[in-house]
Amino acid sequence: MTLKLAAKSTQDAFEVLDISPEASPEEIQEAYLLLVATYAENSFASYTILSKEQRIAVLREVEAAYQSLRSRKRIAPRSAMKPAAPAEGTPRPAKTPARAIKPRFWERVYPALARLWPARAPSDPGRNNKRQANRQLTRNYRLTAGQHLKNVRTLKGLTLQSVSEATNIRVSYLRALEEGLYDELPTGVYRRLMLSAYAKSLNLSPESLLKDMP
Amino acid sequence: MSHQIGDWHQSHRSPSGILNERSQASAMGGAAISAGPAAEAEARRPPELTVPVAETRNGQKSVIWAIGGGKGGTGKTFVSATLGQQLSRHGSPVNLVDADLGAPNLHTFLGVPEPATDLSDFFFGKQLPLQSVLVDGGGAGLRFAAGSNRHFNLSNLEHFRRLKFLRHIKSLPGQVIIDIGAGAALNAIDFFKLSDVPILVANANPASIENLFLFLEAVALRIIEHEIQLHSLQEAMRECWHAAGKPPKSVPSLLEMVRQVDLAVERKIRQALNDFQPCLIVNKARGDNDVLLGRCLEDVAKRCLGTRMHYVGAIPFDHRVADCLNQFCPFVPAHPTSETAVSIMLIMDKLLERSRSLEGSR
Repeated sequence: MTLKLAAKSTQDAFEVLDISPEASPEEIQEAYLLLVATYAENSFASYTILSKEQRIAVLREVEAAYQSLRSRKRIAPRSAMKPAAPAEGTPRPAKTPARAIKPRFWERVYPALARLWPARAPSDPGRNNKRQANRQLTRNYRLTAGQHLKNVRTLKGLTLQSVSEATNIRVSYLRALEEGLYDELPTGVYRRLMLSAYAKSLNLSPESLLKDMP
Repeated sequence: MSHQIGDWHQSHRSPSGILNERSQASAMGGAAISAGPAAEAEARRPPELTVPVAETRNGQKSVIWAIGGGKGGTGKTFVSATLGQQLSRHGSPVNLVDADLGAPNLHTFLGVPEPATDLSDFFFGKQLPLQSVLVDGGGAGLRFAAGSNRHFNLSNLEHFRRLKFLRHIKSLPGQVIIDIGAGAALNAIDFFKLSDVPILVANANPASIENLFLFLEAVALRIIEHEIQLHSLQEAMRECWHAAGKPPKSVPSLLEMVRQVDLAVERKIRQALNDFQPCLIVNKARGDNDVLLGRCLEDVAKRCLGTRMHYVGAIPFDHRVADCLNQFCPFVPAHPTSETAVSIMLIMDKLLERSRSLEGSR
């Protein structure tokens, strides 16, 4: 659905999104996502402060500002937002099994049964995108796994050397885990194994830390 | 920069004013005060306090953090006790004050169930100075003034007792942390407004957010009322209100009314509201949505109330906090590696940074 939006001056658009005119395209994108999350229908942030009409008016204003900045090429086009092409040699991501989406054999043969037991809905791709967006927006306000590991190690007075001896993991890999430089770690299942080993050596539970790992 | 008592004292040389409950009604142009000429004169005086600007023996000014938030049970007392303990562990002497006079809990969170002296001895009885009422809070350099359950009238304090309390708090040396109670009563609002670093604690549920904004609006109205009283615009405001026919329903509409009466005062009020910049903590956070809520609340406060809040961080929920309270032991020393403890340290760093920048700009 294309909205017919009034031509908004760029200065107004920056004010509505509450960012400086020197903001980079990523910052504009982030400000827009934050405002959409703030004034969304299921958000409590504006509870009792704004009526439904006022909230929708704010969303319209935010959308108009964002679209005007996009139309003025302040924001990279949609094609540039796709993830970068994977480097040579990395394993391709596993394909989702066809059965998850296609109806099962007996649902095709016996459509009446299909009406009794409706086919499983495919997983909502929007949900994952929102989760990713939320993690991005909160990165300055929450502890990342690496920061927490480093803090706990410092509190316990341990050096990377001693942890390396206890877990048999190289110091460079431990440092990469702490800094969050996941590219320097070996790919595949070893990353998660290293993180859980490090966490267990500090008596921390690895589940919440593994969630943070891309 | 937040309001300083010293600023008012220097720029407005009026006789020792009295903080007046009725001034709110008169600012709103409410019903005529029928208590007599003395009370009328009192009502017309601006709600000022002439309190000496606090100086410590080291020559450093005291820094006051006030922790409030409107809703009860959000974790204000937990946060004040924990911040006080951690700051004292880092070396600076800390004075905690339990200003939740009707429902004091600070001594319970600090693990001191029966303090030797409390605020009853300050307000009534021996009427000791506040410095003498402070007791050891279980850490190096941590002292606190406990609330009392011996007198039931502490939540309905008379003016002069409240003023005395404010004066004594302002004269405490070093780092002072005030635990403000729930609700938006005058006690809570005035302590909050007069602190150097006002801190709000909210939870990620609509009830807490509702009360948080009510509290902020009450503080904003108090600031507006002060300016109206200062410039004696009560009569003009009353006329404007009668002309409009209906009372203003929100802070922006009230500001519009003030703008019609006096543009310069409206600009001053906007500046004062802009200078009041509380910090926000989201407590009992479960998940990223709750952490994100802090940033959302920042934007809503700026866009809808004109107040600039600073989100300093989220404290994750941990069931062991309640267990520690049940055992009367402080949480952070018992679980120093939990995410809750580490988040509190990070928040403490940000608050210290904020105090230092405020002190630098004084």
